[in-house]
Amino acid sequence: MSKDNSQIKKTKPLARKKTLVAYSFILPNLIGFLIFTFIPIVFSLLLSFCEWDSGNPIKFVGLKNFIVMFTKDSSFWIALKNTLYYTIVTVPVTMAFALFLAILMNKPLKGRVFFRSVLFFPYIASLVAVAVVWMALFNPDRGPVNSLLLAVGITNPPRWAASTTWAMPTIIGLTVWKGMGYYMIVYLAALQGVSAELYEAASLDGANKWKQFLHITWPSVTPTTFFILMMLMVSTFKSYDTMYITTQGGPGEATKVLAYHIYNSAFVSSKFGYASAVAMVLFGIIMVVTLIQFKGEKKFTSYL
Amino acid sequence: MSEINYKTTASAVKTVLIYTALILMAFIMLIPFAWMISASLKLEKDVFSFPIVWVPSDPQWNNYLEIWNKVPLLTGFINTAKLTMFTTILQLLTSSFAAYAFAKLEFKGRDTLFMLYVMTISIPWQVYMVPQYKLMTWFGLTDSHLGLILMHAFTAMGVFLMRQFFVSIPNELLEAARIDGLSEYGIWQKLMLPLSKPAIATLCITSFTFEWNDFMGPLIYLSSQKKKTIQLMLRMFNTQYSSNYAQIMAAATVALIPVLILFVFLQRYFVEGVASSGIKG
Amino acid sequence: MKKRRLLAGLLAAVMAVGMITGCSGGSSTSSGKSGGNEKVTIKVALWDYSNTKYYKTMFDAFTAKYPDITVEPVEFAADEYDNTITTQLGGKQDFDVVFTKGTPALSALIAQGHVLALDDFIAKDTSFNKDNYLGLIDQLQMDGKTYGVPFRKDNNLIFYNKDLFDKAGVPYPQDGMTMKEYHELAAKMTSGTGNDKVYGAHVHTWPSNVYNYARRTESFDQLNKDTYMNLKPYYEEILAMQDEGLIQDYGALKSSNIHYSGVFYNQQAAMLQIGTWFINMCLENVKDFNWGCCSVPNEEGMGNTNAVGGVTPIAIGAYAKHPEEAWKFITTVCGEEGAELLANTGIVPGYNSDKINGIFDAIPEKYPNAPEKLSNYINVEKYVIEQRMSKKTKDIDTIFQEQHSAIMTKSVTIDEGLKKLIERVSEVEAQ
Repeated sequence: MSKDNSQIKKTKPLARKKTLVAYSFILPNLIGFLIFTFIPIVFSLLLSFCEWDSGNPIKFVGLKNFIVMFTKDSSFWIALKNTLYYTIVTVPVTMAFALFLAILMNKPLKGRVFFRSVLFFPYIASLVAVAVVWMALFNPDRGPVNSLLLAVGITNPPRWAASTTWAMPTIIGLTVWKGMGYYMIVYLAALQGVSAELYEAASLDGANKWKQFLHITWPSVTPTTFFILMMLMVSTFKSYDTMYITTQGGPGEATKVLAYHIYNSAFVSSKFGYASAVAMVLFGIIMVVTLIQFKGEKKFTSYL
Repeated sequence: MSEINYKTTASAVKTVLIYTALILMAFIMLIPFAWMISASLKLEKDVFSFPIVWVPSDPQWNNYLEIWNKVPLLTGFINTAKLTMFTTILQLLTSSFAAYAFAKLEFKGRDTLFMLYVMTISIPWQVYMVPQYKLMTWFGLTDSHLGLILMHAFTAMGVFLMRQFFVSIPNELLEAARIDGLSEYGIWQKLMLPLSKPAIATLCITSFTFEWNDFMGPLIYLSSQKKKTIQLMLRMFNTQYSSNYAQIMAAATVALIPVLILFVFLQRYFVEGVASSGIKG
Repeated sequence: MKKRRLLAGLLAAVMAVGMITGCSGGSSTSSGKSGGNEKVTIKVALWDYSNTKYYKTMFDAFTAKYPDITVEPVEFAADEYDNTITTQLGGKQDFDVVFTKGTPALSALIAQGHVLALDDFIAKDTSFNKDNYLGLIDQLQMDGKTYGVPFRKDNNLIFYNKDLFDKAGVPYPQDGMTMKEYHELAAKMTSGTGNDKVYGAHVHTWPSNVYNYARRTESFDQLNKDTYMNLKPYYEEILAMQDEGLIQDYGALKSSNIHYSGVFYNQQAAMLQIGTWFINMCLENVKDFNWGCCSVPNEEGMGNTNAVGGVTPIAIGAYAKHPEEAWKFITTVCGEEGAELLANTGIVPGYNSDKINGIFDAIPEKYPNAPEKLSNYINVEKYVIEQRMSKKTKDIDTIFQEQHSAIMTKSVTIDEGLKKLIERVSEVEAQ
């Protein structure tokens, strides 16, 4: 009995001390995180069931915001459609370019550092600066791109950001151009982890390049692919600054995405409760996509 | 003999193809920047003339002088540099500190807390920017650099990144250090930090590029002219002098130069950092 | 030992952060206190302060008149002004004076309770006379209360390049043109190709650059959906002009952010429909050609009897620390003194008087290339406000911008666009 007691007394202070030390590590970050991120998130959840214009008192309205969103706000559906369009095209195109470039670069080449730097630089360049250049290049009447197209005999070049059909592809182009260098480097690192012996063995077996890619490269980088997929998805779902800077969501509503709709509802129309409700939907979509990916990752990487 | 010949020509062709593809891609990546610089040295009326004159015969260096008078770009630079520096340092310190506890210490509530962090990673800023703004006004931290620094310094992503890296450091090393009498703080300082340079580099780069190029945060939070960042100054220039493309391009060039310089010197770390972030699935 | 040192360091760091926080918190509130005759600083929220000369002149004049009041301008980017100011006031910023860009923005601020009603100030202040504002004060009312005083008012006119018309041997545009005549005139004035092309007219990218033609005859009202279909002939005319290459393409203008002013200064367009603020811009920037103006065309051929335009109202922030001083500021810059300063630069003040008209009529003495008798165009019988005040004005305005861009880029037909407009506005009204 007494022996047991003393044991407990001995371990308890030790455990407490351990916990204390651990919390001393965590607290500086945790406090900031709770105040500046977590509390606002919780508050946002509550706000989505309220009406609030930033001036008048907050009013609880139950599910009204969601009902309005789904039944009375055609802009929401357009924005949702545009978000999916933007994501579904941007993500695979960026990944394809990134992987392609990484495979090209995964060899002892002269000027490798140069190519790597050049491909990566747009990623860290400021969007405001890059977007204005991009818009000038793709100016439908005077821009160099259309001047070039006209010069080579295309009489009716696309009107790019000035047309509802081409505005989104123009923005997707900008996004892919700006982002692919980053993901190329992530892929490159993964490729360098694949052992050269595998390829040697495969080519001895007579497997051609495509087969090697299919059976060695692709499976080896699958975890990285999932990582990139998730990063890219989340970042494209969240993105709206490109649209804000280039097209303001237009022409019409052609480039209005959900995140932009949230920004508009909150900071233009001052419907903060409604904005929070749309934000919840966006969050829900991202959650679902993430879960599917986790499931998918388990399934696809298990056979390796 | 002929087979070897065939092989060498084949690989030569392959090399040429690879180079062609790479040069083409590099070209696409660089053309916008080349056009920007070229346009920035032209007279307004020549900016869009076609065929493009890449090297203007009479470079208008004046464009670069005039922009500084039109919009206080220098103030923008100083403010952005300040914001970037403080955010990055604060984030690095607190994230690596917290990450150590999450990765290597055992305590009650660890997993719950970590779940909390992880959950918030995929929540877009738009979701909580409104309440966050409200909160910041309550603290009197709108239109202040400190407000932006605090908002951006304690990110879940930072903790997550560092934690993932710390986990991969073998526990045996830590045990040995503990036996040698090193405290947990000592281990963090003398063992973990030196071993996780790639992760630190990643975090620095993510934080730097985010903060330097952030547009929406300062747009919503900063109102005084003297506190605005370079991105806001640039945007202001673009909208106020929208008909003057040559000078817009000059301003854009100027805004890109610091990032370019930093990149040229640190590109190895940039690349290493980015690469290390993706190795883990 | 080491642990303790580290802890101490950490503590110091925490304290340092705390001190920074404390400092910045302190400094932001310290300027707030004010007593009877102590010096008072009023915060004035506005845009384009740093690149507009008359603001500074005006503020200096105000400080000279009231030496105890200092004016602190708080400048925001012009493009994001409406949104920023709402956000700022949402955060209960203590702006004393709030410039607003127009009726939609002011309506929104009123609906959110971010600006004060001015009726008490008006009642107390015997020197303030509503009649000097051509009835605009009443148009700035919502729910029977007044919230703004017009600092500037800007009706729309056709500005034209006299030299280009003389060269082409075409008579100048006249008051009371129909849309058809305007179209024909633009066709006559279009010449050249490529870089040397001169467009007959220039239509800027705002929805108002189309609907103002209709608004002038009051056949269109943004707050009345039943009038939207009346915009059809106007859109048809403008789109036809665009198709025929008589005006620059909307999409190109929009995607490259082209400002109408450069087009006119560089003599790339013979006519331009824009607000009277352009008088000031022409005085400052047009040196090498003569210019004139006339009233905007419309389907009914109405002459220069009324004008359509917007106002730039100034309001008092709801969280102002010095509302009394703010009112003094408003009555000064929107009153006789401010108005004269504005008029001297060629800006049309909200305040109206014979003296102001005289200043505009005297412009050609100093600027021989400017038109005579400008007062005819700024002092009209009836002033139709572009966008009436209502809680929904701002939301409706956003919808107009979206659908306008869809119609003008021909992404939808005019009928589809207008129908969509009606649908979307109905949605907003229902919410």
